[in-house]
Amino acid sequence: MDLNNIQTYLRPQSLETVENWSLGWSWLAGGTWVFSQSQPDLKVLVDLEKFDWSEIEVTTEGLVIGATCIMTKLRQWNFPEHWTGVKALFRAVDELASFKVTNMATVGGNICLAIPASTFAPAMVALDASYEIWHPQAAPRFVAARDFQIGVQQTVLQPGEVLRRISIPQESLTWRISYQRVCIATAGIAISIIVAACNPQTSQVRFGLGACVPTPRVVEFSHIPTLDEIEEALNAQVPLNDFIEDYAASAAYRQHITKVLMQRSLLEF
Amino acid sequence: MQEPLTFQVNGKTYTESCSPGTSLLTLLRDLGWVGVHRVCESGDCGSCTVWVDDKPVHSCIYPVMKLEGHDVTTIEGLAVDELAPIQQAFLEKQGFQCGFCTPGMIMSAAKLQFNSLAELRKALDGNLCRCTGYEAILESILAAKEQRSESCLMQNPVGKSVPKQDGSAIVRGTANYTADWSPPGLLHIKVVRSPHPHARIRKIDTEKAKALPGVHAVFTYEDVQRKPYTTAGHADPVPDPLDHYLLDNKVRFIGDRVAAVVAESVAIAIQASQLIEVDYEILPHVIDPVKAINDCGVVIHDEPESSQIYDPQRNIAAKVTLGTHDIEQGFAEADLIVENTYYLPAVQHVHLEPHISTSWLEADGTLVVRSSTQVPFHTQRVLSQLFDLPKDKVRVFKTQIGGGFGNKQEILTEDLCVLATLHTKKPVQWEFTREEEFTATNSRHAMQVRVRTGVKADGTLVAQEMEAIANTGAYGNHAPTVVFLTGCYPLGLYRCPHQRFLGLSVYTNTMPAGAFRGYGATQGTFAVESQMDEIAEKLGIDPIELRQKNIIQPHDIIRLGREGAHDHFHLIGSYGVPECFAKVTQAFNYVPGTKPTVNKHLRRGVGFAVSMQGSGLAKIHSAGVKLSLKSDGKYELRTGAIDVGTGADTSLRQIAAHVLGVTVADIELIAGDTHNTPFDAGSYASATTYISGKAVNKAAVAMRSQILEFAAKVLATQPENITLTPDKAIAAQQEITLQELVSRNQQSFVVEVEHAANESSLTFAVQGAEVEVDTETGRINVLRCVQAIDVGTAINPRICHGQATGGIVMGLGYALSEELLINDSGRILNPALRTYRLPTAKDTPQMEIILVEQPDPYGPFGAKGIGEIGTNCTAAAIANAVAHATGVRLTQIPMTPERVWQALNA
Repeated sequence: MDLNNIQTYLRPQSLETVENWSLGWSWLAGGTWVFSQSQPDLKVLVDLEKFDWSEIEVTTEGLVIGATCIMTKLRQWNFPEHWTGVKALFRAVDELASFKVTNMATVGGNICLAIPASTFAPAMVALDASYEIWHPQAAPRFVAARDFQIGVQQTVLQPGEVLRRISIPQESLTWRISYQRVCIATAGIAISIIVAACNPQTSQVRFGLGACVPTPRVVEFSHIPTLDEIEEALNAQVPLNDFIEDYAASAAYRQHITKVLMQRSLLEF
Repeated sequence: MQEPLTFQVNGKTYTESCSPGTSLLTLLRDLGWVGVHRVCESGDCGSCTVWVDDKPVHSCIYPVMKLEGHDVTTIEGLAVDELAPIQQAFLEKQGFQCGFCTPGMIMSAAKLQFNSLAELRKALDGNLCRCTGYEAILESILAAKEQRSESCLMQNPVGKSVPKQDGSAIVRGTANYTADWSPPGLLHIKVVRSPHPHARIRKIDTEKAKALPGVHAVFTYEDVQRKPYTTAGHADPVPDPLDHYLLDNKVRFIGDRVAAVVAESVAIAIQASQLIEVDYEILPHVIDPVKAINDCGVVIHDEPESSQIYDPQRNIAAKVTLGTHDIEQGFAEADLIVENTYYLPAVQHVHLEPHISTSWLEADGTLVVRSSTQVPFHTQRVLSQLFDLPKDKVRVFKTQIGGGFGNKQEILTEDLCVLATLHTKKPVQWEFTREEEFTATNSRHAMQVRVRTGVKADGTLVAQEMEAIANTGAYGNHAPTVVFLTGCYPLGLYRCPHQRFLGLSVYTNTMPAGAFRGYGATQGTFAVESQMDEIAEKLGIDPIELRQKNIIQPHDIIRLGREGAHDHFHLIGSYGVPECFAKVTQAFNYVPGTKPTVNKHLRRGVGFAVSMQGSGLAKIHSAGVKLSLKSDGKYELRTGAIDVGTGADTSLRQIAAHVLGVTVADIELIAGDTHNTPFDAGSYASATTYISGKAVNKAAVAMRSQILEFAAKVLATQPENITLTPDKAIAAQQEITLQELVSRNQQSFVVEVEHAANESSLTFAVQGAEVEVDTETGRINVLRCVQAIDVGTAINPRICHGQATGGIVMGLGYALSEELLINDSGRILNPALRTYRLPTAKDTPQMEIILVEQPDPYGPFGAKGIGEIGTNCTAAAIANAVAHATGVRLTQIPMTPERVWQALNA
């Protein structure tokens, strides 16, 4: 929609030229979220497009995704066949919205938006990703995906900071993936997302929980857990109070459905 | 302003300066590419889809500042010389109704990749359609590769699937909706809306807003005459409470109108509206209708000027009682009494085209209103009353309409546009945002419906009692008539000697409820049809058998709702109910007593429901038609009828063409214009085919006689010896062209007819649904729906089919996912298409529609109404199927996964 209160739209050529970051400024990647609702507090949009941070790099150490990589590009990339872990990323694209949104939306945009229902956040924690953060006037720093989000639409990013790239270790990329997502209808904002990753060698299992909790959570097992072990671990590590309670679903239902999805994930391993 | 952008649209190069927060959608529409449609503005519905460098995107969320150097293709750029294959496919398979989603649907479909029907359904997630139920759209996309062509020039078109005659314009993106044209010098309205559910306005300071450059006027209650009226579009005298004011010193729900700003752009109007300071005296509020009638200390309509309110002190807008009073005698005879209360949500119409109107003054002083309305004539009357203008100085007309479903049987935008035009003397437009549609128009009435049924051991109904408490919101538009139908149809459907209905429409401090396809019958049908299955289960009788045993028979008289001598009434004309039951049960290979299928946590079951709905309103719904034979030998049909997107215009032309022996192309249609067509009550109550169609039929028959009689005179023979062909009147030895006849006739060949039905013939529908319930998650997957409609004659089977599939899918949303959720203040929590979940193509089940055709003695060519009935029985059939599958009865819709899970674990 038209954002009538936007006064300035900056298209800097390089990060260093971005100065005097102030209240009411926002980075803009694809724009698919920023333009999807009114933004009464924003005055200045800073478009990241010209930085060209859209690389996809496949190396022996793993996968690097530039923050402004368009989702469709990621979805259509040819990855090594033994990288079963990219299924988590593919599903994160497929489940986000229509292909017309993912033609514009960026991977980093979804992560930095940090809404609970992010389709990428639980995938990134399940894949044990880490994020490189830049600032126009400071040195880069690194944050683990699981530490990045600190609340609903709150991240560790300080004013003026920006996500530069995402790194996923090679080891996680060989893990097998189950991606389960539940909404009130068949599409829309999820009430629970479970991305399960299983190490085919060790049977180690890492669950990324999203949408059911304000920030993505990790529940890990050294082996493929039994149904009871899932229930026990979930109750211990993510108590009922941690689940979101809102008009879309109660915390009790979110807890229940999360358990069901975790248990169903095992059927794929 | 920023530096100008250079880009291309459909091969044309532009250099434009834009405000930095502009969306591509707005830029394209401002440049005149109005085939790109504004609907959700959040990237959820797909109606604004265009290609940027050949990649489809939602233009509403594309920042225009990214456009530099890019190349945009809109629907208008798709067809070069002839239609693109995908457009041709949509035209052939009629993959549209109102057409508002179509340009975006086509621009998406052209770039879709899929290997199966399931993948296609999934790929359409980002394209919403509210009319078709997606079936015709899926067929169109699947057909895009195989090319065939169908002739549109059908003789004797009644009963044939003549393509909608606006199809070519729809698929090209050139259909002319209200927003697509406006006079130069247009001003725009933005309304300040109440943030409080109930408050008195102590003071409004508009000085800062008025001082903003570009602002032409600001209106508050102090600037308008205090005249009570209803926003409902009804014939005079209106049955609704007169309780609404142009602008008032009191607000009654979050979203109520406080002040109106008129400015040179929408952006300026918004900015000015934020400068208006309002001092509110907050009043206690009530959002629960049961509390509202029980001495809660809140009186929502305490103003002395309002009238036709049943009991303002108790917030009862309307009370309807029907039936006999010796109900307890009936219950005394019963072997079994079943009682339950059912809870129905407020849901929204989500017609994709928003409410919009544009008003201006002609040089001769005539006030013109171009509006997306189902009721131009009622609107004209209300405007003339509100502004003390003679009716002939107010012209209201509609152009192409992008859906209404009842929400445009309402005067919501026209009044303030006219106020602004009369004051500024300039053209003024008011277009609602999607959020306004969700928060400041109308919903279907939320209701709680208590039903108590007494039945003999053999299944014979002896007593039915129903009490409906409807939340009519802050204003009483449609309050009495909606609850009337809640009792009248669902109870009237059964021959039961003792029936009693009490319906209350209750004011609360929530968004008003109004007219919505099914109009109260939808709510009542869910209650009664759920209870019929509960009774069947308790008695061990098959639910189909129980219904057949008690359902009204061809010669029964429907007494319910006919107590007064002057009440308009319903009767049974044609009656295809047994065939409907037979066809639906056959389609499922239904064997009574079959157990549900159980596969681990998945349980499958089937359920059924039946419904009836009238065809228009008897006696009070009138339609005028003027039919002329023009000098070129073609016919001109003028009708006040409104095609809201269903295809009614095509059906009306079919009726005229059939009688006159021509094709629909020979019937030029002019519709829905108070200055250029005769009166028609408008498009509501499943009336258009049955009442306006009958008027067309009568006019065409009279025209035919007139031509034959005059030709007989000219050819010196008897009328019965003459054959009328598309261009000639032919006698045994000689013939004369119609053009020649026109030129020889001293008078014109003109017929004017006004028709009001004496009786409303009842349409019946039977629906079956098969569901699979995941007992671990509570998710219901509807696998299959079969609906048989006792339609009389299908004037256009494909259009009837589209009404049924669209109705089923609307019912599916009602059953499973749609609900306007409110907080303690009545604030709507999900006013967007991302959070208010309409069914998508992926959600639609396999659908089978059976049109049972037994001509009705009253309707044109035996046709009955079909616009609403398809919606009514879907939710009940699904609830009954869920009960069959799981043994658990849900009495509240939507049956969300959480509610099902809770019920299973109760």
